[in-house]
Amino acid sequence: MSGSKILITAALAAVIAGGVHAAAAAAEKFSAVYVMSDNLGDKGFNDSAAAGFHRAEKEGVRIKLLQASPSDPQLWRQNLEATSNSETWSVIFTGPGMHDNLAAVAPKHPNQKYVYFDDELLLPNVLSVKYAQNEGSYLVGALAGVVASDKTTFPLGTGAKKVGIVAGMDLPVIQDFILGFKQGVATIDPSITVQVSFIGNFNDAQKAYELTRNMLNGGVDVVYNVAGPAGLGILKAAADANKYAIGVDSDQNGLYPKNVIASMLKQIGNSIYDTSKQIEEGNAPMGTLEVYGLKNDGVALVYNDALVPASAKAKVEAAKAKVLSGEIKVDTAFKK
Amino acid sequence: MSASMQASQFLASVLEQTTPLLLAALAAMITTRANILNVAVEGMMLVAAFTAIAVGEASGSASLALISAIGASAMMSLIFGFVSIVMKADFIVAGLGLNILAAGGTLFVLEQVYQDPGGLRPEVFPDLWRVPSGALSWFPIVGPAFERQSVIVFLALIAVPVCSFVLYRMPIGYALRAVGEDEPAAIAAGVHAARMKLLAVLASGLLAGLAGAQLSMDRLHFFLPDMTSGRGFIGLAATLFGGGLPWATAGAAFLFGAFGALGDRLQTFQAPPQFVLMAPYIAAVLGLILSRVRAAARSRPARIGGRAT
Repeated sequence: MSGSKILITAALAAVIAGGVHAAAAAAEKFSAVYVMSDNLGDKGFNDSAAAGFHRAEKEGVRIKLLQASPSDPQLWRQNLEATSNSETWSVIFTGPGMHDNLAAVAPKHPNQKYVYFDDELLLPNVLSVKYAQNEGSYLVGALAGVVASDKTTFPLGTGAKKVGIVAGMDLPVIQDFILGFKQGVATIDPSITVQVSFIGNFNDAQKAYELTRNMLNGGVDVVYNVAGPAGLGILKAAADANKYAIGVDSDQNGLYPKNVIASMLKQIGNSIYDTSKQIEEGNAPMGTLEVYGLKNDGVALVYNDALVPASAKAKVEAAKAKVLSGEIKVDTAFKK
Repeated sequence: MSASMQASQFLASVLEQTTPLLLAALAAMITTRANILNVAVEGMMLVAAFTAIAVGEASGSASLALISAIGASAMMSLIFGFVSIVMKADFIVAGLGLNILAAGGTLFVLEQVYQDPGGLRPEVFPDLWRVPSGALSWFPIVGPAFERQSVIVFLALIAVPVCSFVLYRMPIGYALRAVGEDEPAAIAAGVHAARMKLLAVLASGLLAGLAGAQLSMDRLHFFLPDMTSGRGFIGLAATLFGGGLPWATAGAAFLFGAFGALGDRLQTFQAPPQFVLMAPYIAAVLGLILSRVRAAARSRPARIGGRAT
């Protein structure tokens, strides 16, 4: 008995010592943790975020990326509570799918700073960062419109004047993509039809493949991927059918270089780096919402230069200029 | 586009969507006949899907990838069999545990071996044998639907009569069903009950392996975590719907596949996506209700939930 007691005491002492040590280390060095609701390696949203953290790490910030299975919401909450309770992190980042968790946890830790990106939560210790995906998708729509109406420049097209979106789930943020896309298509040619299909989740790549192939069989010339990890199935279907696709969240042009004409990027990495810097310097506007849009290069289109000639780019840039000048206001699913 | 071409494309979608469901359903059916409710099909499929891509990338051989996928799934089924039959753990608990092991295990290997937990996507991947384009065009509508389909689709279709033959025309099938319907009586008649159950579980592993390989190898040529997306459970529902009978189970799987393909098409006609995505599940629930009504009408011996009392 006494032997085991000694062991337990020793173990407790080690834990306490470890905790104190970690706290001391944190006091010296700025640190950021990202509580995720997904895994890295999607060659999209999460990897873009990770790039921002690694950039900060190079400048001496202590970072940690806490991955979690997308099908295990309890774990997301546990990770958020554990990092908040530890009080060793200068700032806790969290992102998609965490609204209710953050709304429950953040008020209990008023001295802990949080950055909530890709959504909005107005609490005094939370800095919300959103991306104007509607504005980025507006550019994608303009490009898709050009593809559908210019068969000579884009030889894989059919001239049927149809474009499509295959999306993950019918969520407000996804609707924001869709509204912007539709408006972009309409600025080029209002007679082009836009088809929209939903997978129902963000993992079922086979379903994404099937929906895309179905659209392409029906005469759609270009499909916009708004489906997270499952979107790889969309791109594969476009490549197999030898039609066009447009990637999202990170540069997916290289995955199928003959078929992916462009990718819409939310500059998630940049925004994470910037906000981390702001918080470190103490001038972050906590309790507010920062929007990264076309104006401050928070969203951008990366072209596949081998497939998109300058003439097509010029038409998209003309559409972009209309937004920058304020002539066109891009529709949003987030009504104020 | 001509109507017959559209019909062929629809039929091709039904075939492709049905294949993994059909194989998963047969996998669950064969254990159901040995009185084991197999919820581990999902996990076996996931491991097979991963192994197919990993081995295909390393070896450059599609057939080796397919065989390894089936082998990996069979290994999982033997773990399931060992835990639940030899060690006598509860089937449901063991099955759910196996699913968690499969989800976590594939992620762990992705992270540790491939340093990429988001998935495994080889630049080049060997393709499976497929029916050549134009080879079946002499047969209207149905012929073109089978063109460009992979060997797994055909294996799935052949698996139905094979399962039926083994269960109803071979002594080993009698023994297996006898264990499922009345284990003490079967043992008294000299049947090795545990061996029969293990055999059923192993057969289920082989079928689930094919189902998983189809998901990752047939069209996508990459693996994503959780890419099975509940197909193992839809297969289980098809088995319960089909009352554990091979042809009825296959019919149920085709019904779910057809609802899925139909839903995909309805979406482009601007039907509300929420309702369209519900279609296969509504079909599953209706199917289960129908099967219960039928089961009440004429009591089947190998029903789920223990031996008939």
